[in-house]
This record gives sequence, C-alpha cells and structure tokens, in this order.
Amino acid sequence: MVILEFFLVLIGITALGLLYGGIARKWSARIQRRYGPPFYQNFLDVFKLLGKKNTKSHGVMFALGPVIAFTGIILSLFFLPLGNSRPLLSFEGDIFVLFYLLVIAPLGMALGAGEAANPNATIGIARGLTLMLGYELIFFLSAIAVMVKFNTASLWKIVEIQGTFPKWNLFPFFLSAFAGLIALQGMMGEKPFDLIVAPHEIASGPMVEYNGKYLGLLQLYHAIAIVVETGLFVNVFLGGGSILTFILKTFFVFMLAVTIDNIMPRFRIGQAVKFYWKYPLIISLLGILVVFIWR
Amino acid sequence: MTFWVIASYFLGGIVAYVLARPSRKIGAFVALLFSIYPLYALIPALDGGFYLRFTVIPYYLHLSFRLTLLGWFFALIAATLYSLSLFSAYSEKRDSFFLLSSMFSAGGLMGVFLAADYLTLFIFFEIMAFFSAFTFIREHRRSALKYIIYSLVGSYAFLAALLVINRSTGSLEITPLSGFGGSVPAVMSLFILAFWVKSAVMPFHPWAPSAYADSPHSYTPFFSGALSKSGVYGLVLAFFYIFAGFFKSHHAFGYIFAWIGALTALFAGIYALLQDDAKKLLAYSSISQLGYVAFGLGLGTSLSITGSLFVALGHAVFESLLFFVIAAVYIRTGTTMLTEMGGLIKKMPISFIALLFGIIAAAGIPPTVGFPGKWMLYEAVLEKGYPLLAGAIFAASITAFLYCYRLIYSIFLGPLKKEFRDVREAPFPALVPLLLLLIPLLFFGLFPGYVVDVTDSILREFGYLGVPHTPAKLLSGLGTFNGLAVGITMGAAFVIAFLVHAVFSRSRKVSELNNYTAGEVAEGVSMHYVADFYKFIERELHGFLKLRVEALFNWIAEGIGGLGEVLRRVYAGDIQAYLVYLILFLGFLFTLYRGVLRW
Repeated sequence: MVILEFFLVLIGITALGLLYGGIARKWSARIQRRYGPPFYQNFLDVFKLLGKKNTKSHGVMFALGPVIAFTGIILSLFFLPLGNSRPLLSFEGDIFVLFYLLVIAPLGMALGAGEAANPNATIGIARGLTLMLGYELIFFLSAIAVMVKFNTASLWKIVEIQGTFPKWNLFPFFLSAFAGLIALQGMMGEKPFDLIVAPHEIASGPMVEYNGKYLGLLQLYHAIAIVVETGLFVNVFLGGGSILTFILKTFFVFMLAVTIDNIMPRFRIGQAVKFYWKYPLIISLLGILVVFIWR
Repeated sequence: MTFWVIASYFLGGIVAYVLARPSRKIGAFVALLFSIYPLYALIPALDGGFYLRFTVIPYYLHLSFRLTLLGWFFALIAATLYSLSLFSAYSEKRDSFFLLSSMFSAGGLMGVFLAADYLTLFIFFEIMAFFSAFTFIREHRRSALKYIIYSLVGSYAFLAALLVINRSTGSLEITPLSGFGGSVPAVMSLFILAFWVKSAVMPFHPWAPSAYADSPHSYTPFFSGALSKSGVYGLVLAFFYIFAGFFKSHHAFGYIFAWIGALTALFAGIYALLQDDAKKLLAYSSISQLGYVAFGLGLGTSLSITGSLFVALGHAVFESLLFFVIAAVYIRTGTTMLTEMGGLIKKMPISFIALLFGIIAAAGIPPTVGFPGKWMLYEAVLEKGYPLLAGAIFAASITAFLYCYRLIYSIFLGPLKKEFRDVREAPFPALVPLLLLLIPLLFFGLFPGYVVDVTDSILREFGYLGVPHTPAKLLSGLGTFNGLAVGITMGAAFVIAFLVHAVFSRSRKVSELNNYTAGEVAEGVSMHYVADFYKFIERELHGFLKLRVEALFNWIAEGIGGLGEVLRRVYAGDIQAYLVYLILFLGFLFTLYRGVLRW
C-alpha cells in the first residue's frame, strides 16, 4: 500500500512536471506571438525519446549519469512535503537533508556529461557549478531566516506553523522571499541565469551529447525537478493547504519564472555570480536582520 | 600493553629499516606486521582505562601513558590509516629510510594520543613532527623545512604554556585546570597554538598545501587523515577538559573560534577550486574539512562537538581515500597535475569508483560518512541561532561540490590523453586501501549511531549530554536523520531509475570522437576543458585572492632573512675584524664599569 502511494506520487508528479513544461512552452510562444506546440507536447517528446532505437553511449558513466540524476530527484521528491501532507519518507522534510539530496541529480548529470568528452558539456557544467555558488547560498540564507524564526529545520513544521492564506511567510519575510525568488530563477536555470544550457553559445551544455532514451530520462528528471524546486519555495514561503493548492501554487511560481525568462536577456557567468553576491545577498542578509529585530 | 602499542612502531621502524636494506619486500612486510599489532591491541581496549608510568632518567624524565576514550578514538583512526598507507608504500617501492621515519612518526602520533602528562605529549609531538618531515626532506627540502618551522612555532608556544602550568600547579599531569586567575586566556592561547598549527586551521595553514603536495604519495593519506587529527585531539582536550571551566564561561571565545573555523572552511574551499595540482586541491580540501571541525568545537554544544568528531572521522576516511587514489593514479601516470590527465575511467575503473565514492563523501552527500557530521553541525548552529555562521559553512560546502567535480572530471572523465592509451589499473597493493576504506565510508554513513555511541561516551567524560540516537538514526532538538532510510530509499530509487533505463532499447557504444565534431578533431588539439576550470570565479574574486596570509608570513620570513644578512656581515669570518670587535668590546666594558669596578 505504501509502495503504491510512492508510485502514485512519482507518476503523478512526473506527469505534472511534463504538463507544466508543456504549458510553459505554449505560454512562451504566446508571449513571443508564435502559435506554439500543444500543451501535451512534452509527453510526446519523452515517449518518442525513450522509444528511440538508435541510442549512442559514450561509456558506463555516460549511461549511468541520467540514471543517477533521475535517482537523485526521485529521492528529493520523497523527502519533500507536498502541501500539508507529511513527506512520504518522513524526517519531516529536514531542509538540510533536502538541500544535500537536491545536489545528487546535477552531480549525476555532470558526471555523465563529463565522460562524453565534449568541451561544451564541461563548460556548461563548470558554469552550473559556479552559479550554484550564487543561488544555493542565497536560497539557503533566505530559508534560514524562516528556520531561525520558527526554530525548526523541518519543512513540514514550517508549513504547519504558517497555516493558510493571510498567514503566509511571504508577507512577514518578504525580503527573504524576494531573495529566494531570485535564487529560484537560477536554480531552475531560467533566464537571466540559463547559462548552463545556453543553447546559442554552448549547444545546450551538459545535454549536448545526450540522445535517445538518455535524453528522455533527463527530461523526466527535469520535469520532477520543476515541481521539487518550486515546491521547496512554496513550502517555505507560500503556506500550506491541500495537495491541490500546492499544485496551484507551484504552477504559479513556475509560470512567474517562465514569464521572467521570456523577457530577460542572459547574463555572462561572471556577471551572474557577481549579481548574486551583490543585491540578492544584501536582500537576504537584510531579511535575516529583520528576523533578529522582530524577535 | 599501551607501551607496546607505541613501542611496536619504534621497534618496527628499526627492524624494517635493517631488513629493507637487503629486500624492500621483506622490510615493508615486517613494517606492516608491526603496524598491525597496535590495531589488534587497540580494538578491544575500549573498556579498559589504564595508566602506565615509567622512568627514563630517574628524577628527571618520566613518561606516562593512559588510554582515554578520546585518545582511543583517534588512535584507532591513526593506526588503521597507517597500516593502509603501507600497502600503498609497498607499491611505490619506498626505501628503508622512508619506512623508518614514517614508522617513527606514527609512533609519535600514538604517543600524543596516549600521553598522560604534558611532557610526554610534548616529546611525542616533536617526534611526530620531525619524523613526518623526514619522510620527504630529501626530495623537497623547502616544503619540509617550512613544515618544521611552522610546527616549531607551535611547539615552543606549547612548551611555554607547559612551563607556566607546571609552575602554577606543580604537576605535569593532564588534568582540568582551575584557578589561575586572569592569565588563563594567555596560557590557553599558547597551549592551543601548537594544535592549531597542526590542524592547519587558518591563519596557520600555509605549511599544509606544500607539505601535503610534496610528501610521498602513499604517506599523504596518513599525513592528512591522521597526523592533522593530533591537532583536533589537542583542541578537544584544551576546550573541553583542560580549560573547560574557562571555555564554558566565555562564550565569546568559542564564538570567535567558530568563525575562524567557518571562514577556514570557506576560504580553503575557494582556494581548492583554483589548484591545478590534485594533491594541492586535496590539501586545501583537507584544510576546509578541518575548518568544519574547528567550527563545531567553537560552538561547544553536545551536538556540535559530536558533529565535529564525526567530521574528523569522516575526513580521515574520505580524504585519505582520495589521497590514496591519487597515489594509485600516480603510480601509473607519473603525474598529479590535473591538466595532464584525463579519460582514465576506461583504464582504471576501480580507482574511478573509489574516487567517485570519495568525492560523494567529501561533498557531504548522504548516505556516506560525510553527511551526518555536517548535518549535526547545521542543526547545532541553527539551535544556537547563528544564521550567518550557518551561511558561511553552507557556502563552504558548496565549494566542496565544485572542487570535487573538478577533481574527478580532470582525472577520470573527458578525452583520454594519447600518452595514457596503454595505462593499466594500479597494482593490487595500491588498491587495497581504496577498497577497504569504502567499507567505513558507507557503513558509518548508513549507521552513524555506532560512531555516536563512542562520541557520546567521550562527551559524558567531559560532562556533556550525549546526542540521542539509535544505530541508524540521529536526533537533534530540531529534527532527525536516518542514514539507513536514506540508503534504502536511494537504492530503491536507483532501481526504479535503472529499470526505466533498462526497459528501453539498448544503446550502442561509440568512440569519444563520434560526437558533434563528427570525428573531425585536428590531430594534437586537446578537447579537454580542464585548465582554468573555474576561471570565472578567479576573475570575480581576484581582489580577494590577493589578500593572502602567506604574504604576511613571507614578509616576516624576508625580514628575518634580512636580519640574517646583516648578522653575516658582522660575523664575516675575518680574524682582524674579530680582533677589532674584541677591542671595541673591551673598550665598551671599560667605559661601562669605569666608575664601578676598581682594580
């Protein structure tokens, strides 16, 4: 029964992520005044890729990379509270555990892409890791303001304590939430922080050599990652509620990111890191200061 | 028995030295036997605290030993790592003098962990420092001397503290100090300086990168994993036993020390990103990990001390594993430069797997030994309510992802260099430590409770509460962590992911040139993105990187060198000059005493 629940969540969230991706493509297209693909296009893409007969592999690690990435994101999903429900594997959504589990997926992808011996892939990874030095820190600092205030490391408790709409953390912690939102943009790799894939410069970076079912797996990973990353933000700042409201909130956070993505140019990597170390850092530190004054 | 735990190394060193002359194999084998005995003696010795005192010179010099839990914890780590390092040394065909000096340094280290009085501690501390420098002083004189000088600065400070303590208490036994009045901070600073230097916490770290990089590759794992732990041991002893009263009543001191540790972790992590030498990268990584340890000790709650001891253990396991891999790779490739390697995964798969697990642990990803310690430190700092400190160590842990990826990518991934087309897997003895260290790496990650059992007893000896736990589960005031649950779920998730991968049609293996270049890579063009890997960070941080504490120390060294130059002019080695000095001196005496001395 429990295992069934795990599978239901896994399949449900994967489908949800693919749906989000599809809607985002349509939304971007409308912003750019194109017609755009149908909203279920991402499902078709994944099925097509997974079913490809002619897949090329560059070695064992290359093949294992997407598998590890998928493993890592499934694992993070199981430790994330979805709305008010406890995370499936309850350490009550310990934020530190989750932060470290979230790294497994990019690391797996990076290891796999590394074996492909394509410099574009490695440049993308080096950029991604560098960017991590920016957004991870900011996200951590904005989350820790809430954690210090509530004196807990458990995401589930943070959700419980804030309750529903008017009591969202967004309002008392608006500085931290704002910094967290900027960090989220980098975490999801949307413009102006899409330098990891940067299709016009480095031919989609780590994904450049991936094809067929490996690319399919990476798309599945990406689908779940959308929900997990936005879900992390939603849990910390946008309160609790049923799973349905959780889905709605993640959708809106994601669409916000996609909208910003469509109206922004791309940073150079140096600029992006410097940007993170400047304004968002100051904002998140001010957020922490607010907590200390408020106490 | 304690006597033999220590004496075994010294005796073994001499025997191995003699026997290694005719045959290296026999020498290494004998050294291994003598180094395994302490391990065999220590493992069951946990419950028997005992005291041993014997006289070297009547009335003047006594050496006394005892086995405390803290000492046992570190001694066991050291004994294990030393035995493992001999396997690697055997593959490297090290000579008899190496066996002698490394055995003596291990014996010195054991003496430090088991000493019952300050003088014994000091003597063995010196033995350890000198003989560890002797392992590489012949090939790399400069870095060995640098290491000795840094050690000596610490040791003299320690000696001064020892004399003060002896004068005011009349005893040399290691016991908690009380009284002492206002001079405690000064004595304590002198006392911990030696251990501060040895644990390579900033700003006394500059010896470490060069010493770790230049020491024999098979010895570095022990050097970094175990010898640096003598510093941690001394710090723990100082903060929570000898000066516990002072430490508990002065929170500011602990807070400052926590900041020093956190900044060490962060800055060393940033320096590690920019190294081109794998051993230097790991050296900075090692400094960074010890920064975490210092951070936890500074916070001074039960959870943070447990976290620190756990990180110390984790560091001993994964950092030495990583150094062992570099040693194994060096045997086959003859280089430790990241820019000169690449693509070795196809040639050295076992080393690759070991390095992969090593970096996963170094990055602190569960369920490996790297995570529980860090988790406890985070929970502890959150309990204390210091968000900025938490941010600093979190930033440090991000740098760990960066340098870890660089390490594994540059050596094992990317295109295979032409000169390494015929490289084979490292010889079996060099692989033994890699495979054996994987066991604690995973076991203590899945079952952190077994380590916490020991650290709890240590904490209770110091009058702290333990950390609630079961074998797989740790509880803090704020949350729980279950290593086994993460491990099992990860296994299950991997199976799911692998099944998704496996049910679809099989892939076709292609050569590395069958990529977007369509095989049209010009001959001799390296497609390995490896030099200046993190150039962007270097560019953004160049102002910060110019501020280096080495510059200050070099400036002091130059000043002393200049002083030496001046003195050499005076002592010119010229008889006539000396005669002039003599006359001037007599004249000086004459003017000085003219009114006093009459004859």
